[in-house]
Amino acid sequence: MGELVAYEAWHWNVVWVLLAMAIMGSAAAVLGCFSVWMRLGLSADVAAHGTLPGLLLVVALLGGAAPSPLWVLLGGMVGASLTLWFLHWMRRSNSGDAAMAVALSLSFGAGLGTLSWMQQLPGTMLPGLGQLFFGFAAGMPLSEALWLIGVSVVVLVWTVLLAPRLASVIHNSQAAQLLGEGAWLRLVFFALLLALIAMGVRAAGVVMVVGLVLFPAATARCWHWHWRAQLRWAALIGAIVPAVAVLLSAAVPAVPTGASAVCLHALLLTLSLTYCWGTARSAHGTDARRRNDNVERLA
Amino acid sequence: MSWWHFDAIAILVLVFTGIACGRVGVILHAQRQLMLGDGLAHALLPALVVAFVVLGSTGLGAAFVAAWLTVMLCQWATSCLRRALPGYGGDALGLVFSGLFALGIVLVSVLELDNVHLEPEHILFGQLENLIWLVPSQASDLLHIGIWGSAPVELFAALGACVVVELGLRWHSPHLVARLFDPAWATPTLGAPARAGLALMVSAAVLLAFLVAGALLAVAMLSSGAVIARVFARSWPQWLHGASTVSVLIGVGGYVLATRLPEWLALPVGLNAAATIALLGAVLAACASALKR
Repeated sequence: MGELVAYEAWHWNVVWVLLAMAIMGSAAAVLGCFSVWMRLGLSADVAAHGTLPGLLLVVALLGGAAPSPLWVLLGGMVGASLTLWFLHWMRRSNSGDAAMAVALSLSFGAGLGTLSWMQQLPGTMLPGLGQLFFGFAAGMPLSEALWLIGVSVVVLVWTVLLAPRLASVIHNSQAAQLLGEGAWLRLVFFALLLALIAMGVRAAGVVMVVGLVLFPAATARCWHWHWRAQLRWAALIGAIVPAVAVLLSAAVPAVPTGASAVCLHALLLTLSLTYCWGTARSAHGTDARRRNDNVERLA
Repeated sequence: MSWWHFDAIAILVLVFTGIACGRVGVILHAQRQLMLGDGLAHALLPALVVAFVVLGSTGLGAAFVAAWLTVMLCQWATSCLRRALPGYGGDALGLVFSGLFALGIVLVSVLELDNVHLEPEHILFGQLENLIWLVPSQASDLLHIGIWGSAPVELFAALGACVVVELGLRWHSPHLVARLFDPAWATPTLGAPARAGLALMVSAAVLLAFLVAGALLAVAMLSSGAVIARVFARSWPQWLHGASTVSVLIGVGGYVLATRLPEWLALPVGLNAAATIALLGAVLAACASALKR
């Protein structure tokens, strides 16, 4: 009987986590499309690394206790925001790649230094390194799964509502500036991106969460040229792949969820690129080139 | 136990790492490809795992060949992605390195390679704190040349990487300067051997940074010196030598701070050396950037 209860509990927890990861993956994919069109993919990576010191700061403020999901969200967003601010500041006097390299060194150096410090303090409730950096969604408690679902739904709904305006800002930034829309739209977009990254870190890992943002957008790009269709494809791919990764991670606990999800995404992208290459060489080659030209103009 | 048992080899490795990474960092910075160093350090993990599975050893020779092949694979994959996905630019690199790093993590987890220095601690923090040399019994032993034969292999790897970078730079310097300042002429003219030579230098430095600082902080070893020296340098040789000098000072300074600061301040816990070096480098780079304005 005890085994049956344990099995039932495991079963329902995995179902909730599966749902949470599917919605989170979908929201990350839709945000990822806009990130790539705004050429902010690597900045999202730097921001994801910046969540680590924020999370650890929260643990330190709570006296070493495990933080609640709300604290995780706040701490992750503060860490990522400060990292992005530093990146912006460094960009004013350095090239983009140098600014990113220094911002990454600062945020992740601070994060790893604090982590190794806190690991030596007695009574500190920290997850294992593998879980923290590469994710382990299958072991996520129900409360965290519900928080992840809530934040992901809010982010997804807001992004879909703002999608036409965001697309117009990307397509014609000068017109958006004249209308006074560019600045606040970018601010809202960054807030949504940082909220999702901060909440997704526990499930997908600090290092791997950016893979869930970047890969579906690239795969969707192989399947369709229109931006709305790309968003739909990305949302679909982004929902399915992390859900499969959770099942893999539940079946083989040694495999981290984030890493397996990114691996599956990379496999899917490789297959999609092969398909793209095949169609580009076919009779539709001219059509494909025209699509690429259109997409490049949008990007 | 005295300081040379724990610190002598680590400091020497950091000196060689600083020289190699400073120079390669300048080359990458001049091509606006510093994040390539970060990407390559990530992508090195699956290469090391495959090298271990195929050759059955984590020897540094096999690791070096794996690193070289990885650099060329990454460059090819990134250029393919940029052609296939127009408008992706730097994000293509993000796709390549996060995909390869994830593959490496899955391989490490599935193959259970916890006893070959590929567990998360080594991947994230590097192996600087493991460089212990117990053979010399007193400080004067360090003056005997013969005793250095028993030094950890990482020291010779660091020296070898430094020599590869220096020789590559001397052989490749005219091509490199042409490539940096006239890429339209140089890129089709140089051909495969020059590109392979450049990849050799980059792989030597990135492998060394990976060993010292781990996969995620290797970029700090490559970038800090180059970014700081860029502010003060007025010529190409000044930039190269300045970056190496600054990288050595940051590496050794960070290590000394990490090992001595807890003692000086009577702190109850120790500091991580790789993280302290990365932090020191980033803070100094930020100060230099503030001066540049």
